[in-house]
Amino acid sequence: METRAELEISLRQFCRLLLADWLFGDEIARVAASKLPVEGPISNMRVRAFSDLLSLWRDAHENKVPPRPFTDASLMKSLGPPPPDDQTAVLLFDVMEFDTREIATILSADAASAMQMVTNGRAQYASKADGTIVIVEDEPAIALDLQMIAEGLGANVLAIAANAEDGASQILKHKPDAVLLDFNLDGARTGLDVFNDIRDDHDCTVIFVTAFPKELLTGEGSEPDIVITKPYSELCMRAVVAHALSVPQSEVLND
Amino acid sequence: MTDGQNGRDKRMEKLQVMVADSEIKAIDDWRFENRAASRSAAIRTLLFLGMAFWQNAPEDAEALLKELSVD
Repeated sequence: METRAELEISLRQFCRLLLADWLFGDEIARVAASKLPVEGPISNMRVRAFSDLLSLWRDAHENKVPPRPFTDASLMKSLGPPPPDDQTAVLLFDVMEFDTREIATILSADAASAMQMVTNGRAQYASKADGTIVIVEDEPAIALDLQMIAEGLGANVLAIAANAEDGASQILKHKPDAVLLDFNLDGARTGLDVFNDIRDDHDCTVIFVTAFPKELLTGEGSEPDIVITKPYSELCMRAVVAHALSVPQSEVLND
Repeated sequence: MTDGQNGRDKRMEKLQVMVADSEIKAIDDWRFENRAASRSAAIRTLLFLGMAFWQNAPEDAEALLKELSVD
């Protein structure tokens, strides 16, 4: 049975993924979570919560009445429209592991259409990754695999590092659009150390791969933008890299 | 968090906030109308005013909060 906390983590993971940004993602996840029932069982709410999230976002975007500044409606409208349904379906299926029946409910479609959306979305992502990436991964075979996935999508892999020191150095040297970080690295320091080393000096989409995703989806301050659970499938990684490199990055006010 | 000796905070953090273009304009308009030294100073002043309003007029603040969330 899924608890409220687990559902909120799941919403946070998905929203960060959709926006390729932890801050924007956490804000929209917070709005979606505020619509969950205050009391009563939370099990079997996952599909409804994801459906409500996309409905809220769509409604805010389509509302012609300018929202009052600093309200949640203003926040959601400023994000622009949600991603196209085909791409959302891929992220729900390949990354969030919903089945086609659930995706059909979330996207208000029938199951056959949902599977077609997934197929269409994968095709749309196939050569969409127009950007640069640095990979930090200590297993050479996995690093090579990730490189092939990224380059197959059209991304330019600027460097591969096996340990935290080299990882941070390569990221700050190359300033890539995205970073693919594994938690386990050569040496005593982890991918989380790399994230902490670079986050103030280079603003890019951080894709973090870990066996313990909940620890990086707390919603308490600066965390990786996209958190992928280990082990992951090739389809999952393809969807994540393609999406991360296709989302226009917004500016964040740092005052 | 304070050190308990002289009430000084042990550290400062840069706070990141999502703000739309129209909201930045609203902050900047407020800043210039009220001669705040910087955008950061304007935001801190507005936070000060918001916190004071919440403490001094909790019922009015609670009513206003209803306008914050989406339906």
